[in-house]
Amino acid sequence: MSAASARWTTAISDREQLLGQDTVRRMSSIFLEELEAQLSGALEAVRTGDLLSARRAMHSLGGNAGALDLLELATLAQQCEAACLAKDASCAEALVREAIPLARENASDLRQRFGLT
Amino acid sequence: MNKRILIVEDNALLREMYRSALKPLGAELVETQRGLVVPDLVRSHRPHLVILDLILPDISGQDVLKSLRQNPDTASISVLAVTNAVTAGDEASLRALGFSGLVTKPIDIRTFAQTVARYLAS
Repeated sequence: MSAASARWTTAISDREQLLGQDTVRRMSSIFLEELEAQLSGALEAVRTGDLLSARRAMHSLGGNAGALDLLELATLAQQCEAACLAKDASCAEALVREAIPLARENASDLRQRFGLT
Repeated sequence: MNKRILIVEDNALLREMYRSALKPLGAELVETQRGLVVPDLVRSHRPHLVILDLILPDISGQDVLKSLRQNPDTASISVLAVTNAVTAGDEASLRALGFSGLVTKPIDIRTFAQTVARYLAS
């Protein structure tokens, strides 16, 4: 297990203790339900120069990721938000593209931990 | 008297987290995803605290706060801004706008619950 993976396992266990396993499972389920629409929405928005919509999609994704202690993804989403605010479309697109595989890897970890499909 | 909290948050996952994090406080929670309805909800529910996301689909959190502060009926209510490092600016500038305090995402659940408890007690 990598150091990042071990850190997340500890952090998500702490969330389960504080909030209850059912709550964190429901949060994970929401994350999974919303993820692909957020990623495709953000990508489409940066491609078409709609940085306001891109920012909103990445703000939602970042909020979801942070609440589940997926801190690397939350940080990428915040950086993308900042690029959108700065009207740097190429940087925003690069960050969305960087976020996509990480988000899917995180989704896979959540599915495995909580037995979600 | 039961304490009431108005949660203004369009993110379903975060609302789920708030419900559980605040449950031990025993407060009644009123929720909305829209900022424009906040002044009406504050007048009808008289919450002791508003937890307000700054990025909402219909209006900014800053504009929601402005409308609350401009009305004598709702001017003195405690409002906690919820935001991230990108939109936060610094806490001093948010306080200057009239926010009572700031919660930064990613949210530390223990600190968040303690902060809310402090505002409910005051």
